[in-house]
Amino acid sequence: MSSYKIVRTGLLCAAALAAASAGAARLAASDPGTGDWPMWGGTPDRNMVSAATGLPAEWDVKTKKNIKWVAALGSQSYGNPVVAGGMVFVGTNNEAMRDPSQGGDRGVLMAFRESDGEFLWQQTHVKLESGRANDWPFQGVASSPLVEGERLYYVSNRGVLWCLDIKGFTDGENDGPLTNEKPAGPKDADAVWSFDMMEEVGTYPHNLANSSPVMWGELIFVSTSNGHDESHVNIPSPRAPAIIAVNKNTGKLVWEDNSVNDRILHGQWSTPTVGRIGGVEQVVSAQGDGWVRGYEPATGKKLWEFDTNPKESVWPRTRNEVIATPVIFEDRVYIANGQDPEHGEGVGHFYAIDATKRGIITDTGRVFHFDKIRRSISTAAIAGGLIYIPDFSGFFHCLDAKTGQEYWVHDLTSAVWGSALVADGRVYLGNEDGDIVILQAGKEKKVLATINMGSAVYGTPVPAHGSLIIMNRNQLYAIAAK
Amino acid sequence: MVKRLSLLLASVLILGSSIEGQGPKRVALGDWPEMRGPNRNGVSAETGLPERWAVNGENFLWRAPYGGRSAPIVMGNRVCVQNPSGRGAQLQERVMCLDADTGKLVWEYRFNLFQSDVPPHRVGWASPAADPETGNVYALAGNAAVIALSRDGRLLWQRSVGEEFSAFTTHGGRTSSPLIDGDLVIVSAAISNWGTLAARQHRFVALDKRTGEIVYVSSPGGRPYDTNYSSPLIATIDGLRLLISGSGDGAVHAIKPQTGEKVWSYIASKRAINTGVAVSGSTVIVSHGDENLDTSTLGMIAALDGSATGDIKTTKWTVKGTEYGFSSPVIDGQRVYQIDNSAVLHGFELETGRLLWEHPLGTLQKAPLVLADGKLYVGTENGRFFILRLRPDRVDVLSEVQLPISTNSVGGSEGTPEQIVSGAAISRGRVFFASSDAVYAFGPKVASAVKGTSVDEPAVKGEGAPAWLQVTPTELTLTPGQVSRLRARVFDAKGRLLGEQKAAWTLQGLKGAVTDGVFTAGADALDQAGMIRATVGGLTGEARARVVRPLPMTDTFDGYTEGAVPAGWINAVAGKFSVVTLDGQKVLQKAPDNTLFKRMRMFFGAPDWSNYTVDADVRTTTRRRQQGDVGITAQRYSLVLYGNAQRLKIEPWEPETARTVTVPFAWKPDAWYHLKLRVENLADLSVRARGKAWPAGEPEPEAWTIEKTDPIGNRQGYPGVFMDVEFGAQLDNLRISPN
Repeated sequence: MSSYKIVRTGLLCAAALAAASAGAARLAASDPGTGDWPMWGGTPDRNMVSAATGLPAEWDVKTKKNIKWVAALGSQSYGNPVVAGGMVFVGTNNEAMRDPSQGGDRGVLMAFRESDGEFLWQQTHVKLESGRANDWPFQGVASSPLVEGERLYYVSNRGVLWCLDIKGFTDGENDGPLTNEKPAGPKDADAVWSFDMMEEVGTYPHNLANSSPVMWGELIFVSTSNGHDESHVNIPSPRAPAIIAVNKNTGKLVWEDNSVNDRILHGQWSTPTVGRIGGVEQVVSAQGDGWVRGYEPATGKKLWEFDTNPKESVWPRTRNEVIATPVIFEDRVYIANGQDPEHGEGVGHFYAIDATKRGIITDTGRVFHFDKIRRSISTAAIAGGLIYIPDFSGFFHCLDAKTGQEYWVHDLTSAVWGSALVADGRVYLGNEDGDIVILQAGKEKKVLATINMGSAVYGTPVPAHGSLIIMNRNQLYAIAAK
Repeated sequence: MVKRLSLLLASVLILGSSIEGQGPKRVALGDWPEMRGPNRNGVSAETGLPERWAVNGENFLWRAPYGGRSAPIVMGNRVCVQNPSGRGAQLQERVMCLDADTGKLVWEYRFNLFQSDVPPHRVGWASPAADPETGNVYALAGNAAVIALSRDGRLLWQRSVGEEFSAFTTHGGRTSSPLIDGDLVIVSAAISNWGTLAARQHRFVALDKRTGEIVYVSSPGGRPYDTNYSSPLIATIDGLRLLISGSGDGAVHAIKPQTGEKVWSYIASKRAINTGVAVSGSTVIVSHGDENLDTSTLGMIAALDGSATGDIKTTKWTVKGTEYGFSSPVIDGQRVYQIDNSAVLHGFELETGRLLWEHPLGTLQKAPLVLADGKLYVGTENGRFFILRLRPDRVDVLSEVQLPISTNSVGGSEGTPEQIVSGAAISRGRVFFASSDAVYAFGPKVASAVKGTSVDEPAVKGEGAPAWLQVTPTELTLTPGQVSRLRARVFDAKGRLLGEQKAAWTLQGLKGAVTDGVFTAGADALDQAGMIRATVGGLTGEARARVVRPLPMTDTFDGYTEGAVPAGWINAVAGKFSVVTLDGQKVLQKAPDNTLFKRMRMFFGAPDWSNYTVDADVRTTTRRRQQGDVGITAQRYSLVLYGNAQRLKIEPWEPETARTVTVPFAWKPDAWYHLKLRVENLADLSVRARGKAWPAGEPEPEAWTIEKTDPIGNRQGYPGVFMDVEFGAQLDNLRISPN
């Protein structure tokens, strides 16, 4: 009974929001449930919530119950899947090598047919010569692509923003301006243009360039991952930007911002968000100094900035970077801070920010500060007046979206890298033990199921035309109730 | 026939002069001399050990406020740990010994970190090792210095392996713990030196435990993927003593511990191995948490036949798909236990690898298991310490103790429970372990009276024909005229010492004379580097020597051919340094390089130089908004021009920024600047480093522009060059002069 009610509430909520932003369909607040999930978070506001229904609530990877298909990925997969145009696109490494002529450690973007999981095409990138300083071994492509129409955008492990034809060469055409792809076989990618951030704007990505692009009008926004070198105190390229805007048709730089300058604590692995806040469209970016900044999308003019760390905090003991993605919801920005999982557990912070304010809004824009969270690299899901936010220590928090009051916390007893998906009255969350934990959405904590996927789940479940697309470390699953 | 005769002759001679040998080795039951215990396998033979305890409660002995990330060792009534001491400008690495009954400090020895990328929050990674024979305590510092202390904490000797071999000591901090075997203390690191050892490789370095002289450098593997911290062990398999250790090249290697000769290698992963092995009979259990060679699953545990030789390609059994990245396995009769990165404990059948049971303990795991008295003792990164009773089909949790919230962590995190990332030590009924904030002890108030030995090995005696020739000391830095006495010692096929042997000696690439193993270094216009080779029968062995020009020395690089690398300059080849012609002048260039080697420290001269001044012209270029950083080093202090930051700094240890002095300095790419760095040892034991920089060709400014007085100074060290440049840099007109 209560389950039904919560489902209804969630749906109503999503519907109302969709209506409110109808004037700017591209800024639709959370996934309307059409079946596609064309970018990280489903929509530019990055709220991990979908109006999709009919999603599976039980499955078994051993007996194959409700397993529609499974596809092999490399040994480590961090690039969350997206779904568009009847295809699933996902970043991984090259340990499930598809083409022996493209061997060795590489970052790989793979395209699969959504209906049956058949591998369609891939783009691979050899690792940067610089090795782990810029391109950590075996971490593959960690960017989650953005698909708009026939075009797909993502950032490779070499710090290059790519625009590809989603059909690859399967349409028999070589789309350009870039037409000299090598290799260019039937299962290779058809590149349209590329923008090398290291060459063009001098970025020095720390460990891995990973940004998931987001779009506004003609512009694509990505964060650059510019950061420290091996010494972890020296920033080789302090004059390189933290965020750039590139024209989606030409691949040319439109604007850049480097407010963070030489204050980068470590790397910059958060990914930008776009939404309408107080009637003003903004691109919001969490940056390497632990601050979140809002910009005018067309010009890059900075509107506000907010420090997510208490003044007295000290890196790395208590001061954090921001790896999670900001979520825009009802004129607020929601964000957790944390650290590279390599740094282990520690104290964290979660904020609701009033981004209608301007200037430095650390004090004036703080709607609430939830400090009973540990370091988190997860992105919030906000639905039905509730925030669902896990932390890296495996504590999964449910907060009141307006006040930050905690309704419940659930100990997953396993580290969490991914984010929760709220859909169909349920909350789906993966963890490092490889479990997908399914809870009932709502103020009352109720665990519905715990289903093991066979290896660590670093990604976030994605709804797609009644199925869930879930990747573990080395496999991509499509799951649907039969 | 001739060869056989000479070998026979050799063995006869040895019998006559054999005055050396190894062992016997005895470790008292109750001592825990190395990080994984008396047999280095994580197992204690003690019984009657505690089943439960509580912080400040039942069975609690003491908590000493010295956080650390390495396991304690115990000798008699002393518990010794390695950890950081102080913070910021006062931060040093430290070995300290506590009273086992009370936790009270008995002694501590602090030492500086320098010329290393190890960050402050990862200092004190390795455990010390105690020598049961002498009572000495040995440590491998985060910057790969080897420190030898007497049982009462007095410095016996130290050897700066980090500078002498250019050990790659990184942000990861991973440092292997030393091991003591006979007269040797054996350490390992990724190092790149000069000549035959120029390439960066994970190498095992054996030092004479009494003098610090280098006895051998063993390079059993390939290029390292990462630094690592696999704890080594020594096992006798089929009568052959083997030192077995995971390596930075993804392999597990077995070498003969007294000679460094490789016996076998097993490539397990495409990343470094951080776990130790466990041995039962001839079965060697290996494990890792990273990429496998042939599947897309991560991690594995496998059983090898350790009696094999050469490159092992097959296993007795392998279980893949679980990440065992940090802990080390233990063997209990017919079972193997290992704990994965997510703190899930697994029990396997030793013979088959069949999984018997799994038991979750937390979320993150680094610490290795310790097995004693039918129980496992292990802490988790979540700050829980477990005592687990082993059953055939499961474990029973006897006790689970949550540590308090961290308030003074040596690591990267406070505000969450104190973290445990290292193993426990068992001694005389008690259990000792370190958390991020403290050393803990629990067990009986009065130490249990234990009798007997946990190790009782007879002396190792060689027999039969010589099969290996070792020349010691094998790494030398000399100045012209200096005399060095070398020894040629032969070993049998099992790596056992036969004795010192009379050899025929020759020089390769060195000026000077060698007679009966006595080498007198000759003079040359430039530095020299080469071999002093001994031949005994059909066996050869070598010492490597650098002969450096005495101070004052100058180098305009005009005396080299195009493309030459100055002889014996440490890390010059790996760092792509060579002499080139620029604008008609010979200069030393670091070639453009976008690899890990773009950031390089190169050393020359001698490690014991002090009170000198380094002058040099330097120049960088700019691309991609990056100008690069270039500097000179004297006595472990670097004066560095930072291009992007437009600053000049003096720093002994870059990651500890509190030790660094910085001034703004505007400088341009593609132009020569003159750097001058003077380092002076002051009477009060402090050290003053002063620097200046100015456009080359302009008059030298009178005043020093930057100065650091270091109250805990580095009182000697190599001159060198520091360059962190992707797009190339040059150096010229080098001059080093006594103050």
